[in-house]
Amino acid sequence: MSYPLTEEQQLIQQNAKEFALECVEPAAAEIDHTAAHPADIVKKMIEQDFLGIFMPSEFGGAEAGYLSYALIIEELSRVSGAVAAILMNHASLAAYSINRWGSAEQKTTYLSALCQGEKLGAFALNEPGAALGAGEHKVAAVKDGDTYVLKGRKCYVANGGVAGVYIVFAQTNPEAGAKGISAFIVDGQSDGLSIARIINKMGLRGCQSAELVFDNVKVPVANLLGAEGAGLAIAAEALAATSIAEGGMVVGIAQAAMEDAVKYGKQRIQFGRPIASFPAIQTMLAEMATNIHMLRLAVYDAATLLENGEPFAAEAAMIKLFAARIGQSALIDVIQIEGGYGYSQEMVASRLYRDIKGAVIKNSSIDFPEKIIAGNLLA
Amino acid sequence: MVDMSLSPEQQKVQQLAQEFTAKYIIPVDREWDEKGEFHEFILEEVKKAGLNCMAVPKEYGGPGYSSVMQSLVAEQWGYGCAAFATTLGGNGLSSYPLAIAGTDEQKKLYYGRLVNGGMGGFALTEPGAGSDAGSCSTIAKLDGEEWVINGTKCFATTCGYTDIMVVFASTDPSKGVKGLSAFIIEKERAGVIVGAVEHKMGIRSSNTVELILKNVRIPKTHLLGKEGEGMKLAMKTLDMARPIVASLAVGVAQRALDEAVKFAKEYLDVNGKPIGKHQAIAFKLADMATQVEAARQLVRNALRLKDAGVPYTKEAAMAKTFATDAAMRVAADAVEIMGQYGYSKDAIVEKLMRDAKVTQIYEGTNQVQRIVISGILLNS
Amino acid sequence: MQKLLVCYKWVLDEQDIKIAGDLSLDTGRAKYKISDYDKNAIEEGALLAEKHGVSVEALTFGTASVKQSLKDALSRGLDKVYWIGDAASEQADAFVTANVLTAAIKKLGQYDLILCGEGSSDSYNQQTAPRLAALLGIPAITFVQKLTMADGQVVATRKLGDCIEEITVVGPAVISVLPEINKPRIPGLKQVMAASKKPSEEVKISDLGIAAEELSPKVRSLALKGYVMDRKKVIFKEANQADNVAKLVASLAQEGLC
Repeated sequence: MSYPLTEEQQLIQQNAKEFALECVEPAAAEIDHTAAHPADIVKKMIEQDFLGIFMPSEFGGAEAGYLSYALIIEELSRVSGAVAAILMNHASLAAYSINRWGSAEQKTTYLSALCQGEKLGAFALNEPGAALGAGEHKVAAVKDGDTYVLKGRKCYVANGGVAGVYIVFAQTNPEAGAKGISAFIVDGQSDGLSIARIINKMGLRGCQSAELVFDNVKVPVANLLGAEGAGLAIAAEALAATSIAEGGMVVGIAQAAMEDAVKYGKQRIQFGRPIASFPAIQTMLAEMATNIHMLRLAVYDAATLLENGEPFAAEAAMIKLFAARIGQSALIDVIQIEGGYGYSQEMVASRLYRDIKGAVIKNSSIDFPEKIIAGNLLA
Repeated sequence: MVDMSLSPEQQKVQQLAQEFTAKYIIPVDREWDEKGEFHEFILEEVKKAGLNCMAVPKEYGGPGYSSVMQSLVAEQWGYGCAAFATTLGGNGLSSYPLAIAGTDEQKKLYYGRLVNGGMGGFALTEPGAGSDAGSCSTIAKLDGEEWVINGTKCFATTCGYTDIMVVFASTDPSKGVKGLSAFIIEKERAGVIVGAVEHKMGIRSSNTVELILKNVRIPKTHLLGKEGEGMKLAMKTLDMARPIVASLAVGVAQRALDEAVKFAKEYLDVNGKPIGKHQAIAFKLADMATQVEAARQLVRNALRLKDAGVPYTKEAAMAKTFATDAAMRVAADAVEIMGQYGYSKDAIVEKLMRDAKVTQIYEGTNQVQRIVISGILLNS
Repeated sequence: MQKLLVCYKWVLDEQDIKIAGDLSLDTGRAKYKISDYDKNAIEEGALLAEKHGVSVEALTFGTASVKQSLKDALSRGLDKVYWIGDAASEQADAFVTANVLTAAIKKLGQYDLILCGEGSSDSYNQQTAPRLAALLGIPAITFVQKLTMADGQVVATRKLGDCIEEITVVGPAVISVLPEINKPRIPGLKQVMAASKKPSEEVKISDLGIAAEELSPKVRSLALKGYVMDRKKVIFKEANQADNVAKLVASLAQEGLC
């Protein structure tokens, strides 16, 4: 691959690889097993300045650019999707939103804390009407003088319960439907904010997911992020920026899986030869290698667009569409190559299979990548 | 929902299995997966319902279900829990060699155990013999009136608590594949040791173990079929079992589809519209449903040929390949459609996605199936 | 003890080198890296600088590609890097390398301590540090696994074959370090981004006034081949494990191994 990374980006990629192998990999299986939030690894990531990778130095960020961020996510994902997910939810959802739409005071108060790792960030996005029988998961925000009072529940909040800063999407204007949703910066220690439960997931099990209860949580008016009613537009762009990182996650996980399958295929002898010599196996490997390569280029390109301030929504949607598809097929094939052994919980491939599915989760209440891409073409 | 195109007798069996699944399996499928084991009572219940030894002919005390009926039940088991279906399927799988090559005495022995509620095991795979099943290193030596068996089997389904097993061993290593023979081994025989338990990503409540055979002695009469015909017997057995595996995969796929459809009807987008009303989702569901139905019909087709007494190896392989690939795809699509909910253990579809994967691997990987199919196509 | 200098080498990453069937080396896809033990030397310099407020600079001699090493080195806590990129380094042996480094150091000024890795990742001659010291007329202290600085003095702990030696150094010295001396920290993002703002300066060989014979290597490499361990790949698979053991023992005895 000849993608022109700058010297800094190359060093960052190299260092991230070293960090991942040295500090994250030894704990990866255990993290998946216990599903416990790896606070010690987060601490080490703070020391590497990972929590504010592409944020302005004015707020304690490293100003290393969005492509550096994508490179780091890829390297982390090779060893632990969960650790990458923690960083991703913090950086391109929470921190990104405040950086992009926050007022000067909001940035000073919250962005610095996020960049320096004093607090982790999370996105508490609407999942209305999820079929859980517990009623709708909506949060209403009612203005009362100089505060908004938030009431309701949010489900599947990544970094929920460990975050110090939540970007909460609440209904400020019920009549306006989708256009009546606003974004709020909510302190994790707020009175009335509690965790109803920690959610058990198929994969990415060290990235804690929680259901949050907002019981008349008072949020100062100054914490409204962007304008009233701008909630969905904010969510849409932050999700698009995150799609790029999700692509990086898929690249990392799929690459690790492919290398594992290659290693296995070279040493597994059946019918008198290594199974890697069989055309059927080679076809599967060739297919996934091709897909990973294409996706990687798309991720680097979209990250560069974002970094340069150019429109990136369509490219991000393409990544979302493509990554979901190829990530899944790559891991289905990797386990196929590794057969009964790959299916075992003891082998890394089964964890990668479970993790990659969570790397690109479509929030179908809001975004359909096909619509975004087509919309861009037809405009 | 009963299939009205079936005969009344077949419909009755389908209904019986459906009710059993709804009553006993679906309420606890998640729990079994977490624990990695069934509640013990379930095997009693299956026996009471007469569904634990479906393949045993009436003259040996079994219900003597036709292949279609076995397939209908397997589909329901698969709908409820693939691990359960695999376990019960093992009873069928291991009893087919008896149907193909067993003497009356052998049938009485083996079928008798199953009818009594015991579980059957089929031990072919070894650490060095996966897809290359003929590369077997378990050895059987004749010593007077007894066979002495030594070796290690792996990925042996249910063999942690089976009552009786069909085990493949080499009676003549110099002949390679043509030296493989089949034996009946009762679990209680000295030297039958259950080794390590395999912890799997999916079908977790299906017991998968290493089986160690250390100087196991069995009567000469426990040789199943002729010496050196073990591989042929194994292949014929797998032929018979393939439509059943395909059926359980259809069940998994149907379950995933049903969950996704339910979600699409209920989950509202930000504008309050059920997401099923978006064409992207609707069309995807349509494709998923078509896959499930096509899979089901391929199974019926293979069984129709079997019942007509004509060769059905190719069609059975096609059914297994297509149905398991469909189960994989439909389950993965269901997780995708169901977003964060589908990815969590609040929903059952993430389990279906983990379970479906193994169906593409066991009972002959889908690559081996394609070798079978293309072999028949290109050699005719 | 105010001015430290670290000498480092920019080498091919041996992990990227592929060995062809005829044992020739394919370095086509090989990237460069700072030699492993030199990283320890840089880290030691950076640690001393952080702890005692001394300055730490680096000097490197390599081909033109050595320019790619600058940001990497500067991101590791160095104040400045001097670099010499010259074709002469391609065939350079320790004799040439020491001559070049000495000439540069004499030109750059007085250093209190010069740190090197015990040997380079590629040739591991272990000659550069002692030669440098001899040419500069200062002590060489090798196999150093620990360094402490106090009251203008340096105490170096040497790991020798069967003992540990502690040496107190007064005045300038060349020190070569073992990898156990420290664990190089992975540079954080801010350090990487700040590297481009730190100074680097090219030193041209032609400005150093080195005689031609001093640039001519005394050791010439005739060939560089890969080493591959040939595996016999014999499997003993009798049904009886005791038979397998007997066969293994017989096979080892035949090889003269037992």
